[in-house]
Order: sequence, then C-alpha cells, then structure tokens
Amino acid sequence: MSEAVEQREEEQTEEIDLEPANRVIDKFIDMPGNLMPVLQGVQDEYGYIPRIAADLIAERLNVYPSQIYGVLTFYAQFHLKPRGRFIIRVCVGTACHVQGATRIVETFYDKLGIGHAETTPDLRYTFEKVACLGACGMAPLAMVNDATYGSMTVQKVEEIINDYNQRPLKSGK
Amino acid sequence: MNPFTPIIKGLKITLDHLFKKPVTRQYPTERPKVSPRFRGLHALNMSHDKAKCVACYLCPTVCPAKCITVEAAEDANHDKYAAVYEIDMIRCIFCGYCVEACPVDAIRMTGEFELANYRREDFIYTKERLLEKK
Amino acid sequence: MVNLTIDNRQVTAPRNATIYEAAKINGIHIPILCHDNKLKPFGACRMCLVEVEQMKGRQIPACTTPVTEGMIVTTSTPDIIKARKLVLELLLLNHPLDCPVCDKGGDCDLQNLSYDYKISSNRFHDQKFQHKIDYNNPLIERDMNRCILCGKCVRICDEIVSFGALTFIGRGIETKIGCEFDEALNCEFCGSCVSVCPVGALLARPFKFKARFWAMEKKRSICGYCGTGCNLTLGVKEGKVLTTVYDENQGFHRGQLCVRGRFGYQFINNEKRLKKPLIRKNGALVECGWDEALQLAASKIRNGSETAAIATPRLTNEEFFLFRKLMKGIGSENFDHAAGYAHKALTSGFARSLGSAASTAMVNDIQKSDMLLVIKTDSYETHPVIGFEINIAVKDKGVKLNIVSDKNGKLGKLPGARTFVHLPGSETLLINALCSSVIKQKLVSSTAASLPDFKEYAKGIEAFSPEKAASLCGISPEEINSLAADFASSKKAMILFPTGVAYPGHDSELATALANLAILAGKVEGEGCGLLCLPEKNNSQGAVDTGFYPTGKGLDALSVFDAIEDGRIKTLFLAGENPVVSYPDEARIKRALEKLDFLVLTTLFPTETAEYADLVLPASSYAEKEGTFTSAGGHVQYFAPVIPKAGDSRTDFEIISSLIKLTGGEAASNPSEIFAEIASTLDGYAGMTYENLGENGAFTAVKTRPALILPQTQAPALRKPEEFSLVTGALLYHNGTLSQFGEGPMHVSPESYAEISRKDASRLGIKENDTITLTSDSGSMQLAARVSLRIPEGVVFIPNHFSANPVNAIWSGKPVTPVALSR
Repeated sequence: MSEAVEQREEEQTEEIDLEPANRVIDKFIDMPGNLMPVLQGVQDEYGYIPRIAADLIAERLNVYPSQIYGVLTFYAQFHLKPRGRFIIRVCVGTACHVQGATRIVETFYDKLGIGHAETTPDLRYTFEKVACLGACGMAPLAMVNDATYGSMTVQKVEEIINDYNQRPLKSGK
Repeated sequence: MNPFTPIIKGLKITLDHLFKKPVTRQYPTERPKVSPRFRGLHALNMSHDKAKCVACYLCPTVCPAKCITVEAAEDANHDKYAAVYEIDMIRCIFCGYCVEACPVDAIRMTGEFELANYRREDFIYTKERLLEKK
Repeated sequence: MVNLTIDNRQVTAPRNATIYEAAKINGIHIPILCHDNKLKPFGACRMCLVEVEQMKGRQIPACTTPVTEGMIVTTSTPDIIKARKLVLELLLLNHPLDCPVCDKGGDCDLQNLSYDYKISSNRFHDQKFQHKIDYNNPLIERDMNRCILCGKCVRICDEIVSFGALTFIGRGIETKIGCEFDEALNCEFCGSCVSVCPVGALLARPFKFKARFWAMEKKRSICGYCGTGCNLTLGVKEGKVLTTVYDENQGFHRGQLCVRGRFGYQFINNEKRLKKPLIRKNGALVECGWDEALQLAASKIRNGSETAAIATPRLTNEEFFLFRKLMKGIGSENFDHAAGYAHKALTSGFARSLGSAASTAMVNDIQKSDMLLVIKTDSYETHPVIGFEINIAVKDKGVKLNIVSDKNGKLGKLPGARTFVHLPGSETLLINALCSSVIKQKLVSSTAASLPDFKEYAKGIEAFSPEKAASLCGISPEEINSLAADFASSKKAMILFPTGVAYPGHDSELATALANLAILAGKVEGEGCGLLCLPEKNNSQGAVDTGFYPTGKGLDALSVFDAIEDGRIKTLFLAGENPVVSYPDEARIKRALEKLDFLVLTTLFPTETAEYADLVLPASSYAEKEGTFTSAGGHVQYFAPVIPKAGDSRTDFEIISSLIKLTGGEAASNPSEIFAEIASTLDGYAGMTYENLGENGAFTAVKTRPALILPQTQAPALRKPEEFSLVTGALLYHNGTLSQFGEGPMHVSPESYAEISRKDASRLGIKENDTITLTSDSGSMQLAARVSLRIPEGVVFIPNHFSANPVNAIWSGKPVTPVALSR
C-alpha cells in the first residue's frame, strides 16, 4: 500500500479495513481497462465505495482521484455512502403510478423515516424510487433486495417492514 | 411701391405682438420646462439603496468624448460594483449614448442644464454627486 | 496530403488532419467551442457541424472527422445554421446572461457566436443553475453556472498539465465540472484551465474586474522568470500590465504557461518598485539625481583592478555584452553571474566535453525523442512548461521516461516513468556508474570508441562500476545496468538537467559525466537526441553566450567575496543580484558586503542587499525594455517594451552605457546596435538581427567536438546517523527571489518551509506546520515543517526563494549540507 493512502488512513476518523480493497486491486492490477471491475469489486466488498478506497484505487492504478469520482458519479450502480442491508425499491412507473404507487412510497417514507435514496442510520434499509421494475402486471410493485412483492397495499408495507426488522443485519458473506 | 407700405407692415407686426404673450422668458426667475427627453446632467439610478451600476464599462467604451471613468471593484459578496464612477462634464457632449448602452438601466439624463461652475475640478462629477440626483 | 473540397474550394490538407483543421489551414472559419489546437478532438459542443456529400448529407462534427480524399464539405447551409442556432439556444438556456459583470465579456466564444448567429431570444425556458461558486483559492474562480461543458479544462489538466484536478461529475442535465468528491479546487494553479475556458466559468482572480478585455492592448513579450523562454501576451492598460492573455498559436508551447508565468506578472507594477536613485548619506539612503549617482558610480569603478561586478542572469544579451565591455574598459576581469557556479555546467562542463558552452538539444526535441533521462524530478518545478512538454511526450508520443533524482516528484507519476532515487549528492557518481555500465555491456557507439581518449577514459571509469557505486548512491547494480542499457539501446535519447543557484551539485563534473554518457551512447546530436541544460533564469544561457563570466585571472562570483575580505576588491557592482538572500552562507556574504568600500546596486526593488549598498540605481523590468533573451537550448528571442518605465528608473542598458561614457569609453546608444555587434562577433549568433528574429526567434548554432574526460567525482560525504542531508531546490511557484514580488505566487506559496519524510516525521514526533530548528556548521534557523511523501528518509528539502528566513543561514553551498534537526 502506498504512503499517500497510509497518510489519509491516519487522518480519517472512521475505521475502514483496506485489505479487501487491496485484494480486489491485486486481482485486476495488470488488466487493461481495469477501473470498472475494480470499482465493482470494491463495491461488492463494502456495499459502497468509501472515500479512502477510492484514494487507494487512484494511487494503485495511477488514475486521478478526480477521474474516479467522475466514473463513480456517472454510473448509477456506484454508491458513495454506506447502503442499507435491505434495499427497498418501489416502482413509480406509469402502471404502478396509476395503481397508487405514490401512497406506497409515502407509507415507506413514513414508516422508515427516510426519503428517496436515503439510508436508515442503523444501515438496515435503503429506500429508492425506481422508474420501472419490468413487472407492470403486478402493479403496484415493491422489491426488497431480490424478493418481489406485487399488488402492494399500505397494510402490506407494514408487514414487509415487520418481516425484515426480524432478520439479522449481517449478510451471509 | 409706396415707400410707406413696408413701414406700416412692420409696425403692424409690432402692434400685433403688443397684444401677444412674450416669447422670451425672464430666466432665472422664470424657469423653462424641459421635455422629458431632454439630455441634461447625468444621474445614476438606485435600487435597494445601492447604485444599479455594475461597472460593465460599456458607457466609457461607447462614449465618443471619452469623458467617463469607471473603476470596478469586488464587494464582500464577490459582486462587481463601480468603486469609481466619474463624468467629466467639460468633455461631455450630452449625446446620451451612455444611457443607450447601459444594460442595467443604471444611468439616465436629467433635465438639469445649469452646469456652469467656477473651477475646472467642479466639473468632475463623482459617483456621490451623480447619485444625489434622485 | 489529401485533396478535398470545402465550400466549393479545392483545398489540400495533411493526411491526419480533421475537417476542422483542414478548413482552418485554408482560412475557412468553422464556429467551435470545444477545440484547442493543443488538445485532442473531443466533439462536445456540436457547433462545428458540417455536411459531407459522401455521408448522404448528414450533419457531422468537423472537429472529430478526419479528412479523406475527394471529400466534399459544406460548412454552412440553412440546415446547418438552424442546427447551430439550436445548439446556442440550448446552451443559453442554462447559461446566465450576466455578461456585463463577467470578465470574459468581449473575449467570450459563446457571446461572440450568439452575436454572429443573432440569438436574441430563446424558444425554450428553463431555470438557471444554482451551483455554488468556488472562491476557495486566491487564483482561480470557478463559477459552474456559466459552464457549457466543453471539457477543455478537464482535458488540458489531464493531457498537458497531467494533474487531473478536474472531471465531469454526474451525467445528463446535472453534469458539472468539479474536483474529486466535489471538493474545492486545490491544484498547482497553473491556470491552464482558465486560459482555455471559452466562457467565464473559470476566471483568473488576480485580474477580476480589473479591466474589460477590449480596453486592453495585447502586447507580446517573453516571460522573465525561468530559462524556458515562454512567449507571453500581456494585457496592458494605461501603462500597467494587468494580466496575461492566452494565445493558442504563440511559441513552441502554444500559449501554455505555468503558475508563475500566468499569475506572477504583478512584480512589474509592484508598488515597491524603486523610482529614483538612492545614495547613502550619513548612513541612510536618500533620493538623488541620476547625474550625481552616475558620476559617483563612475568615479568609484574607475580603478578596475579593485572592482568586481556580479550580474543577475535576467539582464538581456545586449546588457551583458555592454556590461562586459564596461568591465574590460575599466581594466577589470572580475565579472560573473549566477553565484559563479550555477553556470559551470555550461561554461566548464559542456565547454570541455562538447566543445561549446551550449546544449546540443532543443526544447522541441523532447517530443521527438524515444527516451528521456531527466536528472532530478525538480525539472518540473524549475521549468514547468518543459515539464508539460515531457508530459505530452510521455502520454501522447509514448516516449520513455527515466528519472534520476534525490527525491520523488510529479514526473515520476507519468505512465511508465521510472524514478531512481539516489542518495543526495551522488548524481555524478551514479552517472559515472551508468557510463561504466554502458562500456561493460558493450553498448558503446562506434564514434565514441574511436575517440582518441576513449581507452584512457574507459580505464579510469572502471573505478565506478555499478557494483562499486551501488552502495554509495543507493541504487542496485541491476537497476544501474538496466537504466544504462535502456539509455544506450534507445534509438533516440535525450538528457535533461536543471542548473541554478539552488543546485550546486549540478556542476561542471555532472555536466561532463552526462556528456560522457551521451557520447558513449552516441546520443550527442541529432533529432530527439542530445543534452539539454535547463538554466535557472530567463537569460542564463545568454549570459554564458555573451561571455559574462571570468576567464583566466578573473575572479568568479564567490571568489569575489573572498577577495573583498582580503581587501583585494574594494568596489562591487551588483546588477540585479540579491546575494544576501540567494547566495550560500549568508553570514559570509554579509561580512564581505560590510567590508566593501563601495557597493553600487541596480535593482527593481529595495532588497536585503540594498541595505548594504552605497548607491542604489532603479532598473527596469523586462516589460519596460528592449532586447533579446537566449533560453534553454539556445533559443534567441526578441522582445520590445510593453509599458513605459516605472518612475525615474532606467534600464541596465542605459545605466551601463552612461557609465561607459563617463569612464571614457564609447558606447552604443541603443540595443539594436549592440545586437548587431553580438551577431558579428559571436559565432552562434551570426546573421541574426532584430528584424529576422521576428516573432519566432532563432536558434544559436552549436558546434560540437566531443571529448571523453573523466570527471572529478567525490563520493557524497557520509552523514552521521542522527544528521539530515539538506538539499535546496526550486518550487513550482517561484523562480529566484523575483517572484516574491508577484502577488500570484505569494498567494499560493507565501513562505519558506522544511520538507521532511513521513517516516522521519513520525520518528521525531513532528507534525505538519510544527516549528523545527535546523542547525548546520554555518548557522541555525527555525522553519515550519512540511511532512511530505516525496522526500526519502534522512533528507530535508528547503526552497531557496524566500527573503524572510532565507535558507542560506544554514546552507553552505555544497550539494549536500549536513544539518541537525530538532523540534
């Protein structure tokens, strides 16, 4: 690990273990066009791209930190803030909209106390409005990680939240 | 022609005018009313207690007599304002181009035309003097 | 060449040209916002749309489409005009209409195009951006509300400056230009992004609201800082230099400038400039008339044998030539410049090894080479625009870069660059080891092998075999061998090294060692080959060419100070130098100056040295005089005055000329006469006149006669384990002591500091900005610490530009000074 990153690591308050990031970089270091797979790999490890990891990637791949930030903000797949264990997506596309997705969204806002693209402080939930999930027949639709919940109602919102509140915070990995 | 005819004609005109309102004016006791389009002394317009002028330098650029001096400066909000705005009335030809060029309606020309003074320095109208004319 | 038709005109263009370039070469104007001739095509703005018949009349961007044989291009049809109008309308949708308060007004590409295309109303409506304006640094203001996303700033910062401070953030309508994690701009502040910005999104803060573009006269000049010889266009209004104006067609660097060139011009109109001669009466300097001052100076210097002169390498060629005449006229051989040692690489090293005191390569060889060997990463700091050339060469032309340095630096981050960090002071030793390795690996060129002194040299250099040198310079034999092989087996290779008062190690021995390396590898001459010495100041090369250094019995600059203490020299004439700050060993310089009978000083500013002067004559800056400068690689360029002289000041030319007359000599009245004399007496300048120098200047002719000479090499003195090796050097933001009077450089780099490695800092418990005490044999000083990643362990770096707390309090003038360091 380079000195520049070491220095930053000393300065930062939050403890982030850079070992997984280094492992991902080691895997791709000699591959041309390695920035995207490295960023994806690092996001898989941490759930988001921590600032210190971005600096490490910049240093080790000899890419400007600004360029990395450009890539991170260009693609919707990258996240710069920690994400929740459970990512709730509610469709607000045309079909879901007419079926009352707005109410569903508002209920989630209400119950979780967070808005669009925000994460609960305990890192359990991240909530997102999305344009279409490709299952208009089940409108209004919600997804929690990979599980799909069709024909959503306000009552069902409560059930889902109660269900996921029981589940453990640490992922299986 | 009868030698008396022109004299009588002339006297007739005189007689006519005896009963008309005089065209002369008893200036300075009697003051003229200038047209709204009259181009007299300049005045700087205000807005929210501040001069509207943003010191864009268009008036000194367009001025054919080169009588306007502007110096811009940066205020606390990083905005541009005229730290110096002077018009040399000795050189001004009252063409009104400055008013026409102004993009922010910061300068106008008033009906004020009595600009005589005793000293040359007094003809330099500073920003403060130009602002006084409301 | 390719033949094509543009707007019904048969034209030809180079094979690799784009339609836009082909049109430009042939005088056909295509409107564009995102193009700069230094940058690669990008195709962001969609203004340069043209129709090509072969492409079924589709509208294609001219700036990214290469020309093909027989292409038929139309640059302006009603459809194209409609499309361009639409582009402008869409840009103006978000661009604020604050032209009256925008400094770019009058020079704005968007404004000009809106005017040309008569965009007086907009069919669309949208809200303007509400981005926060970045006022966080004193030099560059970033107002992203005005940005049109042409990407020029991002590209120039990457392609040429290689700093990469800026990037596109986000996408779609929300895209903006910013730094990593949307922080405030914190870069090296070269202002390249400002120069290429087509609108007022990036502006130079020192020039903010100073004048409108159209009210300034744009006058050409040559930068008065380092020896690169960059061309400048200065914006002048009412006799004052207000800014530098970008001109993409100017000079070899195509308008590209560094931080001090772009933002350091303020010294010219600095209020501290001296306006009247000052004479010492009853211990104080008081104003006096020129006649009195010149009479006094003439009477004091008349006794030539007791008189010495030291000049700054910022004088013009004409002034140096005349100055030499003056000194010869009064019978003195004691004249020198640049501390007497900073020019030795040329005047002694190159002179004996290559036959003339000049570089064999030119700046434009950098991009034509295959491999660059750069001595010290500081080359980027001392000569930033040459650093940009190296960036382009490495990134765009695929030139290999090897750096031999006592610290790491920015150049080492270029793709594929290798930095060999050696122990401080072991440069010459390491180069000798490379030479020895070239011989051992049998890579010697046939011309070198046939040189008469080759055998003797080869025998002598055996003492420096990589194995023996490795431990002394801190680089393994394998690395030395690989670097030597790399250099010698490249088809074309070039050596660059900076010289200067701050680099005493870059002396005649190093120059000879480097020349040997080039000779052995057969890389002395030819395109993309050779040695390029980067002299510290704007006319260092000219001072050497005009012979303003002692030969024979004459005393060199540092010996002059010895001679003053012995009483052999009683009168000293300093032209522009400030030895109290810039020469090694402050105490000794001060002691000598105090002992002088008479010190006359020509200077722009009341410097620390002026406190010792009996007569201070106000001189003129480069912007106020006429003459020629000779920059790195022998580029002779003419410049004319751009503003009237400050107050009652006179140029050094006028002062020296008057002194020649007063001491009974005959002097020329104007610089062109003297330049004619230079052209007729100096071989390298033969045939040059002010007229034929023109805007592009000319290169001095260099005759080489290579000789292999074994340099005298000393192993670096071993320091005690608790001691540090002090190395001095230049900062990116400064050049000499002059840039301290420029507002821009002082904004970003206001004071001296001591840079130490992270490991040493943590070992000694030193944190950033802690005050540390440094003690050497010659003195002691306190400085703020800077903990840095580029410095190796056991080394402390201090810049040599600052008058406040100057490094020469502890700096001996040796390549490495051992110092003790404590908190």
